[in-house]
Amino acid sequence: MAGIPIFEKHNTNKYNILYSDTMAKPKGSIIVDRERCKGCEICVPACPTGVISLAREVNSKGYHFSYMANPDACTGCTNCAIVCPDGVITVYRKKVST
Amino acid sequence: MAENTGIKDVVRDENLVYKKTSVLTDKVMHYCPGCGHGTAHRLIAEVIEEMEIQSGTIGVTPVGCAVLMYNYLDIDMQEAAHGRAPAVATAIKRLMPDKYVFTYQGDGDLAAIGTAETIHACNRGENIAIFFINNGIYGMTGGQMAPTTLLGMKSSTSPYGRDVHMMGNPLKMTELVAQLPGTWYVTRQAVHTPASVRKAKKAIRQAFENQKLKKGLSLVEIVSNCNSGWKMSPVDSNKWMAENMFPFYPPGDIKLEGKLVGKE
Repeated sequence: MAGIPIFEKHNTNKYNILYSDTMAKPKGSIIVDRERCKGCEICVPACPTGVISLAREVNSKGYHFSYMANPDACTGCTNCAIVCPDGVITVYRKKVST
Repeated sequence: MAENTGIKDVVRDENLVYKKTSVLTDKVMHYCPGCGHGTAHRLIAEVIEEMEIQSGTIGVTPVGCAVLMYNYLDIDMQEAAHGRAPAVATAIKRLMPDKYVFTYQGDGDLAAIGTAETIHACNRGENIAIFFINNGIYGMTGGQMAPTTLLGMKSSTSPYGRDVHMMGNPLKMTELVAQLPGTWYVTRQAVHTPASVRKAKKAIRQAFENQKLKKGLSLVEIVSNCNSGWKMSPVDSNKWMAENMFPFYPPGDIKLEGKLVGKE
């Protein structure tokens, strides 16, 4: 069944979606404006695949900015960007066929 | 293969799916980390960009946390005295009926000091949009009790919680103005999760579109957090808001196209 997501219960993915091998996978990436990020952490629970976490380092204002801790899992769904109060996240997405 | 696709292949202009709108300026907002004001500002800016009305929009901000909104939105803005934004917006809209006019008010402003202006502007049915940010507290001045503070909710002037015998009941301003014949569209939204942000954006868009119809006033209440005033972390304050604010201020449409939802 090419291109049809398979739903399985035991999958740890939040939306229980497994993609078959021939499916075009969305591959995403976010760019965080470190200096404008205030480290409010609202993007962290908003991410369905658990990509984002706060950095150990701080920016010039002393905030722990958010970054992609797990970049391979990002699907470019833009959830983090649309909840960000300061609009610091830019999202890119590309369809990758496997 | 997917494994060979690095971040550099994805981060390219042709793959861009979301970027901060150019209607927002590059200034860093003065709001506390995690404040819902920033999200509400961005949604208004995105709607203005989508409708291509950047040169035809006038915003009115009175006193409150959003008093410096003119720094962040690249549109014409007018400052108003505390609570008097609907009156100023009325004048602007009547003088320039082709412009899109909105006010952006907090709950201490719209529901306390500006109650008279709000109710009369709604009752007259002015063709403006009011964006009402409700966080149940006077955020800017240090977390004092507002008319919208929930019963039992602690604030700096009600340290043992709001007591109904001494301080009265919280005011449901949005339900109140929905009863008035002048309002055309009244809704309550929130900006704490991606789904609620998408819904709130649709409501803001609707409020701007309604100004073309000239049928009456549109009021969008956005229930927001005030993590500094509530003395919580941003994520905890959003959870607290969903658990405690939503039972009293349920999100959803209250009046659509001049008719109360759920009543024929």
